[in-house]
Amino acid sequence: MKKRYLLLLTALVLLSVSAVAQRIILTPQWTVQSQFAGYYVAQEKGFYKDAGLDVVISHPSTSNYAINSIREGTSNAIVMQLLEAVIEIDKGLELVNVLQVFQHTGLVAVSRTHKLRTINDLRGKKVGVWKSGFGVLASLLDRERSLNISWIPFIHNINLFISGAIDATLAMSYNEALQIKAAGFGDMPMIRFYGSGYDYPEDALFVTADYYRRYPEKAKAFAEASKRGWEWAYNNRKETLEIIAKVAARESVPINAIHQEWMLDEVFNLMGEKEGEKPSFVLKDSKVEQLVMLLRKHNYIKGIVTPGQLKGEEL
Amino acid sequence: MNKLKYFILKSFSLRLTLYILLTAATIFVITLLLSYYSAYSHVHSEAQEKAEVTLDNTILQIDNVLNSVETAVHNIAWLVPTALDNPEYMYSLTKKLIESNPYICGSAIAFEPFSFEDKGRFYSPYSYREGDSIVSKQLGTADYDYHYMDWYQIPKLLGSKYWSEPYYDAGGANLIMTTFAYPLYDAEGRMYAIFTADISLEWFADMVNNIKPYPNSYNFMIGRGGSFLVHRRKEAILNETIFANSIYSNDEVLNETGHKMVDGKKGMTKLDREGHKFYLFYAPIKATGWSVAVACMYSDIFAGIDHMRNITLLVALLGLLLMTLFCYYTIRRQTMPLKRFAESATDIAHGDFNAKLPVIYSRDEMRILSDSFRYMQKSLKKYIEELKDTTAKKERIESELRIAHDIQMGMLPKIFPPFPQRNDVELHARLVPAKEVGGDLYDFFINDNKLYFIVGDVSGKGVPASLLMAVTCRLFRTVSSHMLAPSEIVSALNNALADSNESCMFCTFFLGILDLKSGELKYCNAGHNPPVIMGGDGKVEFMSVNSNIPLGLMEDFAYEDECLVLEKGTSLFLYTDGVTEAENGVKELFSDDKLLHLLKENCNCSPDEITDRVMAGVVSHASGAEQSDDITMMCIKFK
Repeated sequence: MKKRYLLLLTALVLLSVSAVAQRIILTPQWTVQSQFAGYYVAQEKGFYKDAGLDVVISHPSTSNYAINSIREGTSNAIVMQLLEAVIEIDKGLELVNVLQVFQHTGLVAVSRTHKLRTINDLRGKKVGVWKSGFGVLASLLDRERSLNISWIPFIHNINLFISGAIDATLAMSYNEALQIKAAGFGDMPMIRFYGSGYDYPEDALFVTADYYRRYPEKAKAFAEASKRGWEWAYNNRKETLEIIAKVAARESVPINAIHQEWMLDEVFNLMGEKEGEKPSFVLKDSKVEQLVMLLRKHNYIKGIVTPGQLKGEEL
Repeated sequence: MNKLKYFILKSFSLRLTLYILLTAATIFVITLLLSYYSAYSHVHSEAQEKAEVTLDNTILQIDNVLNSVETAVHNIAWLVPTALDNPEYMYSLTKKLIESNPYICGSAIAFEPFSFEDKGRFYSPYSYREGDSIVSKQLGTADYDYHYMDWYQIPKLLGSKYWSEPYYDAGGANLIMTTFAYPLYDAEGRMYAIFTADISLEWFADMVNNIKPYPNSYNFMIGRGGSFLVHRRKEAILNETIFANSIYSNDEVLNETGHKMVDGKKGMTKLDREGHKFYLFYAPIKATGWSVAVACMYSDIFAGIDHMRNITLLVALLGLLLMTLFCYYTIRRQTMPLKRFAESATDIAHGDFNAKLPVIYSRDEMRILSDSFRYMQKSLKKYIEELKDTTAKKERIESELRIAHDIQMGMLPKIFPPFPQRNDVELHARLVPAKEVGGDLYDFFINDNKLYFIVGDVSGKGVPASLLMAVTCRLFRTVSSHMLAPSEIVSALNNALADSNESCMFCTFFLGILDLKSGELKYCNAGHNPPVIMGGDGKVEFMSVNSNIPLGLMEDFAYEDECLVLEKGTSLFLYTDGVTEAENGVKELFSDDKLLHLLKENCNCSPDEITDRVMAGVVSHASGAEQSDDITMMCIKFK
């Protein structure tokens, strides 16, 4: 009798261990905002649950980078830029791109005066850049064109720009650029990388190679349910904004409704192949190859990251 | 609507009342507008002054605090370079700063990397209040790289002191803080540290929120980027910006105001928010680049004059109503006799000359009207009585004249054809007097196969002429019965008429005696129109006659006979000047020519046809004009 109980207990423990192991802990790059709308929708509308997934969305703290949660093993899925991921993979962090969300880069340079209108106008100027390193593309451009830009790192707000201490700043079209607009600088020249030779797909959904290897079906179902979340969000923007507000309230993150609405619209702009098109969720091999070549050229990476490697096809 | 219009048009008192009401209302509206505008301007400028003074005072207080902080940092900062050989001393400097100013809740002296050999990259002695005591710690770590904080980076880049944009206190007390950062430079001009003083903005918020010039006014303060630092909605603080809100609500005015505010301008603007109108007064806090605004509701500012306006309107409307009723009643009462006058006038018009007139006791125009009416009534009565008399007299005369007419007509032969048994002569005559009785005459008879015929015209018209005509006719009959020659008969008539002719009347006269056997025509003319002779061959002309003088003018005038032999088929047409001198509306005469022309056209007709046609010609010529003279025609056809 005792033996039977013991067996049952062991089975239960094993089951729960297995369930915990299959759980997906998703860490977005930043706190709650429209940039991650699709995942909140998938969670709140039960798309993850429908796919038989146990997904927890765990936001990073403002003092810790999202990538650290992967490094530390506290999460097994992350939303990050393709470029960042390539660099991290090159450094040895094993990640698999399960869903390419943004088709374009949201990187822009906003001028503090009306005089700076092109990339070349930034020559020798003081330009703000995220200390966390989102400005790699701009740095590449600076090197390629020998612009000799004086990069001034900032942490997470646009006060440097507002104070006039810099001549221009890098910004994300769906975030800082909107903050700048909200701060009354909406008429300042904005240099977009979108459509330029430095336009590479940005935000993507990654899972750790370890998870992908162990639960490939779950990983694919996770990508599919996330995609479903994004598509629903695309078609139901008003309700999506309500979901974001709900999640933000739960996470005690103060958000600005207007800013989130602007952000959601801009995020969808970056998700279509062309402006105004529906999200395509495609990762083109050619884009990956070009990006890898560029990063290698400027020594941001040492090895080669292939599209297959990125998509987990080589696992 | 039409009924009302009819009623207004019909009632004098109502119409007059409406005119008065309209005039009074216009004057009232103009007066109200002018007084309202003047009160409005006054209240407006007073409100502006009030809001500006309150705002200025608040800003002055805020400036004082900010200045005190800046001064405190200044006063201690000079000690930093003197103690660079003792990095630990910096802690006591920060403590000293906090102790020196009650507003300062934290202070750091953040050094550039590797400023001290043994302190490494991060060295930022920091002191802060904790309860009643002041504690210290070293701020910089790899996780908290202060070198990239706004309060460090911005003054370093700007090369000047800097008040940071407010932020939520990292301590989690949800306090809004701002940091005054003061860069310190070495002898070479290189910045080596930033001296900071943190202050809480809670007292700011209280100060700003205490600006309450009006019960419903509210205030807000924005930072350099337009974000709300103080706002009545807590969730807007550090989360919303004036620009985002204005872009989202498409409020150009608010957007423009936001720009003016962050540009450090002072001013006033009108806003329309959520259906309410506001005056927004704003002024900058120069030291920080922030701006404070006070929004005052129109309804608050102008509540007093709006209340006054409403009361004035109410009183005026009541006044106008009372005035209308009073005017209507008074005018109606004053003009009531007019209605009764009108009724009396109608009665008088219907012949009641004794109709009762309203009694007027006043001595105004109504009295004058009453007197005039009474006089008119009297005059009319008298006039009508006189008219009755005159009419009766006239009727009598007319009756007599009618009898005279009948008598006169009875004197003329009027049976045509007069000689039906004879086939050698055909005759037709007619006389149309201009008045009841006339002075024209004609006569004819046959005696011994001789046709005696006359046509005459007594001077003047009416009764005197008719009497002379009667005399002439009787005389002719009497004289012609025993005298054979026309001249004798005419002379005898002349002498008889000239005798005792005191009224100097006369008579043109034509006498013809036609021998019906031989066709010999003897005739004598006494100033009469020459007859027309119409030959059987169609020749029509005036007979050649001696004019002579009319009868009755000169006694014993020697008239002579004239003679003519008529061919068979010849006609004679005799007439008076009533034919040829018949006038139309424009005083044109019928004329001899027209007569000749008419006779020529009808020369082959019978005498009665000829007289009818000539009469028709004369009537057509006159075309309705009044007949001024007697018309006489006689046509004789010798066969």
